[in-house]
Amino acid sequence: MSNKHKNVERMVEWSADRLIAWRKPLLALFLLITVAFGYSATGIRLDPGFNKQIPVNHPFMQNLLHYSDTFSGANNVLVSVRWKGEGDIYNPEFLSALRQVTDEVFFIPGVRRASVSSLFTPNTRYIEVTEQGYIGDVVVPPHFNGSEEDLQQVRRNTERSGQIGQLVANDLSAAMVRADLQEINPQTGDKVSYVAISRQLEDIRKTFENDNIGIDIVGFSKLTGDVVAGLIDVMWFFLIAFVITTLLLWLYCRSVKLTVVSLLVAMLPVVWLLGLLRIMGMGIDPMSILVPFLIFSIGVSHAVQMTNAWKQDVLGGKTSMEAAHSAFCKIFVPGALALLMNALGFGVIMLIDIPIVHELGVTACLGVLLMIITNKMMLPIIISHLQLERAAESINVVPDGRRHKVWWPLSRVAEPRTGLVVFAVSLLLLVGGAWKSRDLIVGDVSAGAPELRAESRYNQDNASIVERYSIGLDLLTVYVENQVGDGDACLDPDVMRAVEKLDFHTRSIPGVQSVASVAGMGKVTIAGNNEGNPRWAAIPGSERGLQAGSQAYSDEHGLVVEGCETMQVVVYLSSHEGTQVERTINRIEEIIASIDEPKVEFKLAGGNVGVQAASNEAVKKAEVQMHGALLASVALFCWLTFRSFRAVLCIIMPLAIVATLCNALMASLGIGLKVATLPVLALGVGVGVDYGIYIYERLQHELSLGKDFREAFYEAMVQRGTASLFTAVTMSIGVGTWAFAPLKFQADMGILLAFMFLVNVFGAIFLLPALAAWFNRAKRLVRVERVKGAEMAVSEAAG
Amino acid sequence: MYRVISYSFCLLVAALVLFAFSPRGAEEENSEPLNLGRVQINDLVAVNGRLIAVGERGTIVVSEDNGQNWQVTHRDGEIPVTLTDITALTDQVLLAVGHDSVILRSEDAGLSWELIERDSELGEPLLGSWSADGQNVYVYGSFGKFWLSADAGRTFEPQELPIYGEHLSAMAGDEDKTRIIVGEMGLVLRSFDGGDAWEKLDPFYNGSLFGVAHLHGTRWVAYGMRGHVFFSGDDGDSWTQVNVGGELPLYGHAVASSGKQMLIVGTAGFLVIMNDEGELLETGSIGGLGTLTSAVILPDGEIFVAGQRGLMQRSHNLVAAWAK
Repeated sequence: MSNKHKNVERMVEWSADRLIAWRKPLLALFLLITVAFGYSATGIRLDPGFNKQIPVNHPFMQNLLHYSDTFSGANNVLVSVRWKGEGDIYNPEFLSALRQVTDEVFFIPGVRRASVSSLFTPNTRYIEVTEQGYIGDVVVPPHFNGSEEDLQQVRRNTERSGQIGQLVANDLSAAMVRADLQEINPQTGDKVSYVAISRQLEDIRKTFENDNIGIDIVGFSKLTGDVVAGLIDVMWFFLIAFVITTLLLWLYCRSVKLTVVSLLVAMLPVVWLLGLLRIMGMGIDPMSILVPFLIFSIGVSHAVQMTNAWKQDVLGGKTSMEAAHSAFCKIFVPGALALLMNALGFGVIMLIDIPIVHELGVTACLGVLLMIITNKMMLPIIISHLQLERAAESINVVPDGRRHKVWWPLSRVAEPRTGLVVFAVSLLLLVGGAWKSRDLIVGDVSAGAPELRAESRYNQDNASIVERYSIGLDLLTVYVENQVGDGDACLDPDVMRAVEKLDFHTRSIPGVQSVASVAGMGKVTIAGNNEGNPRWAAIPGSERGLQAGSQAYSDEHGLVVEGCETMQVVVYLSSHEGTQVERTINRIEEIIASIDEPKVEFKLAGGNVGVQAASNEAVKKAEVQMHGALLASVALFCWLTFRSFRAVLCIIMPLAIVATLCNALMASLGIGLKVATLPVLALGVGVGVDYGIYIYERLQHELSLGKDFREAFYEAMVQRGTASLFTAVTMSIGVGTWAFAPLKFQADMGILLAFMFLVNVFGAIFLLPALAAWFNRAKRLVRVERVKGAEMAVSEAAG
Repeated sequence: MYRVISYSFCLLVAALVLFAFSPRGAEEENSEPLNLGRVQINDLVAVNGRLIAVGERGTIVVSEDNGQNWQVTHRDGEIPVTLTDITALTDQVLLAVGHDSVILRSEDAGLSWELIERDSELGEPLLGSWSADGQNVYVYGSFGKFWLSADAGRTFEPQELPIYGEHLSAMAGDEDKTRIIVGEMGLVLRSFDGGDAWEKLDPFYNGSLFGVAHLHGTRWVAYGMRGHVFFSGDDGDSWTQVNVGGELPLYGHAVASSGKQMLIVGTAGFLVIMNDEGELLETGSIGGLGTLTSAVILPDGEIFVAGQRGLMQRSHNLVAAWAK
C-alpha cells in the first residue's frame, strides 16, 4: 500500500517538475488551444432538435417513428381570437377582426396556405340536410357585410358546420384560425424559421388586441420562439451569477489577482467545451445550455482549492513558482479524482435512454474532463507567474494558539451526545423526506408547455384555449392495424366496432377532451346521409350500412390510409401532467385489452402525450438504475481510496439522505421527476460527494497522526472546511439565480442544484463526523502511523 | 454498544431511503368508467319516478333521484349496438330498440335486460316502439320496418303498411283508436282502428318528419327538418305550420301531463315550447349538450333533456316560464 502511494506521489512530483520546467511552451500551447477553441466556439449554434426528446428505444416510440411517415405530425399553430365584450362572437367587430387575423396568418411565410382554416376560409363549410337533400356552403356568405341578418346567418351556418368546439369555442366566446406549418418555405426553399414565425404571430397579437379582442396563440413554432427568447434571458443570469461569484471570490481571498485568475481559469473549460462541441458537430441544446454554467461553477470551486493551497505556501515563505509546484502536488490527486467522480456522476446520466439526455451527459462529462487540463495544469502555470498582494496575506489565517470561531464549536458533533442529536435530526428529516417523497410525480406537474412557467403568456394562452375548445395541443395517438386483407377495412363492422369501442371508452377517461376516430366520423356521416337524424349515428352491423359513411373513410381527414389498412385514433387531452398521462395510458391499455377482435391490432402511442408517456417511463426506469449505479460507483471509489467499509458508510449515508430530501423537495415544490430534473440529481450527487471525500481524507490523515477524534476533525475543517463551505455557497448562489429564469426547466434545475450543493455540504460537516466518531469509538477508524509526516501512508483498520 | 448504534443508524437510513425510492404507484381510482356527459343519449323516459335513458353502444342508464345519480344497467360488453328508443309498457316492463334491429326487454323497470331480437345481417336500425296498453306493442324503423307483438314485447310479427320502404321515425296515438306514424320525406300514416288499417295522408311537407305527439282530443303535433313544426286540430285531416323562427332540425319532445303544452328539442340545444292551440309560447336554447334528442318533464315541472353529449343538464329558468 504505502509503496503504491509513494509511487503515485513520485509520479505527481515528476509531473510537477516537468510542468514548471516547460511552463512557457506549455502556456503558449494552452493559449493557442484556447484561441482555436474560442474561435470555434463563436460559431456554436443553438440546436433545439425536438426529436432528440424521444426515447427512441421505447416501444411507443418505435411505433411513433414507424407511423410518422403515414400520418404527418401535426405541426400546427392555433390563433384564437377571443371576444372580451358583451355577448358572443357574432358581432361585426369580432368577425372583422377574425377575418383580418385569418388573412394575416394566411400570409405568414411557411404557413401551408391550403391548411389555413377559420370561419372565413373556403374549407370551412356547413352541411345541412334539407328536404331536397344535402346543401353545403361556406359558413360566412361571400356578400357578408355585418348586418344583423348576415350575423344570424353566420350563427346558423356555424352551428350546422360542426365547428363548435373545433374552430369556435364551445361557449361561443372565441373563434380560432388554425394553420399547418411547412418545414421548407416553398417560395424561398429555405428552412422555415420558427423564431421568425413566432415573431410574426406576436405582431398579429399586437395589432389586434384591444379592449374587446384578445388573441391567444399556441403551437410548436410559438413555443420555440418563446423558449429561444427565454434562452436569451438566460445570458443575463450567467452575467448575474458571474458578478456574484466575482464578489464572493474577492471577499474570500481579498486579492484582485487571484479573483481574476480564478474566474479566467473557470471560463477556460467553458470556452474549450463550446469549441470542442462545434468541432464535434454538436450544438447546444436548450436543455444542456446550463451545463456551461455548471462547468464554470465547478471550475471556480477547483480554482479556489488550488489558489488557496498556493497562497498558504506563499505565505509560508515559498516563491510563487515553488508554491505553484507544491500546490500542484497537493491538489492534483484529490482534485483530479474529484473531477473524475463528477464525470462519473454525469456519465451515469446516460442511463436515461433519451438522446437529449445523452447529449447532456456527454457535454457535462467532457466539460469536467477538460477541467483536469485547465484547472490542474494550466492554473499552476499561471499562478507560478503571479505575485500575491499584501491585502490578501492576512485573510483566512487562524493565529497560532487560538481556535477557529466557527469550526471549533462545530467540532462538538464529534462528541457522542451531540452525535446522537445529529443522528436524531437526520432521521427525523429522513422520515419526513421519505414520507413526502412518495408524492413525487413522474412527468410534468402542471398543464401547459413544461418548458415555460405556468404564468407565462404561452401557458395562459394554452389554458384559455383548452378551456374554450374541445381540442388543444396535447394529443395522444393510437395506431390501428387490421388484417382484413382485400376490401376496405372501414366497411368491416368488426373492425369499425373495435375502433368505436376504443373511441367510446377513451372519451370517458377523465382529462380527455375529445377523441377523433374514423368510427366517430363514420357515425356522423351515416347520420348525415340518413336525413341528419342523430339516432342513425351508430356503427351498423353490416357492410351495406357502413357504406353510407364512406365519405368519412377518405385519407384526407388524416385518420386512415387509403383502404383503411392503417388507422389512427387521436385523443385530445386537457393536459400532459404526469398523473394524467399515466392514468390515460393505463386506462387505454385496459380498454384495448378488453377489445376481443382478432382482426385488429392497436399500437400505442404517438402524439406529444405518447412521447411524454414514453419519456416518463424511461425516466422512471432510469431513476432507480441511476441512483443505484451512482451510489455503487461512489461506494467503490471511496472503498478503493480509503480501504474502509465504514468510510464508505460515512460518505454514502449523507448523500443518500440528501438525495431523498431532494425528492421530497421536488414533491413539495411541485417539480416533477422528468427528463430535465432527473439528471440534476446525478449532477448533485456527483458534485456533492467532493465535500465528503475532501473532509474524510483530511480527517483520516489527522487521525493517523494520533490526534483524538475531535481534534482531528477540527483540523480537517480548518484546512478544508472553509474552502468547501465557500465553494458550496458560491455554487449554490450561482445556480440558485436560475430559479428566476423565465424557462421552467432551468428554474427547476437551478433550485434543485442549489439545494443539492448546499445540503450536501451540511451532510459532510455534520453527519459525516458524527457517524465517523461513533464508528471510531467502537473501533479506531485508522491505525496511528508511526512515521510522522508521511501524509499519504495511511493504512486501514478493518471496518 | 457504539457499534450497534452506529450500524443500526445506517440500517435505518438504508431502509428509509429504499422505501423512498421504491416504485411509486399511482393510486387507482374506482369511479364509474363511463362518463355520461360523453355518451350520446337517444331517448329518455320517466316511469314511476324513475328516469331511464338509452343510447350509444347499448348503454342504458337508470336514475332513481331525478337525474342526480345514474346507474348503468346495460353496457356495450355483450351487445355493442346503439339503442335509439325506449318505451315503458308498464311500470316494470320496458322495451328498448336500436340498430341491427336489436330489441331489449326488461321486466324489472330497467335493471336487467333480455335480448329479444338482433339482426346483424342487414344491420338496419329500429327507430322506435309504441304501445297503448302494454300488451300490444309496435316497433318500427328504417326501410319501413313495422312489427307487432301481442305478448307485451316477447315475440314480434312484421305488419303490412301502404308504403315503399320509407324510414318510419315516430308513432303516437290517442286514448281511443287513432294512431299516427311519421317518417321519411313527409310520410304520414293514420289509423282509426287501433293500428289494423292504415291510410297514407296527403303530404303537407316534403322533408322528413322526426316526431309526432298527441296532445289531447283531436290535437296533434308533428315536427322534423329545419325547424318545421306542424299542428293539427282535427286528427290529422289538416296541418298548419307553426313558425318557430329557427331553421334547426327537431328530434324529440315531451308533452305536459295535461296535454296543454309541449316542448320540442333539437340541434344545438334548440328548444321550442308551444300550447295546444298550435301557438308558439317560447323558443330558447340549452347549451352544452350539443344536439338534443329527447326530453321529459319531471313531476315538479322541470325539464330534463338528453342528447349528443349526455343527459346531465336541467333547465330551471325555462320551466318557470312554462309551467306557470
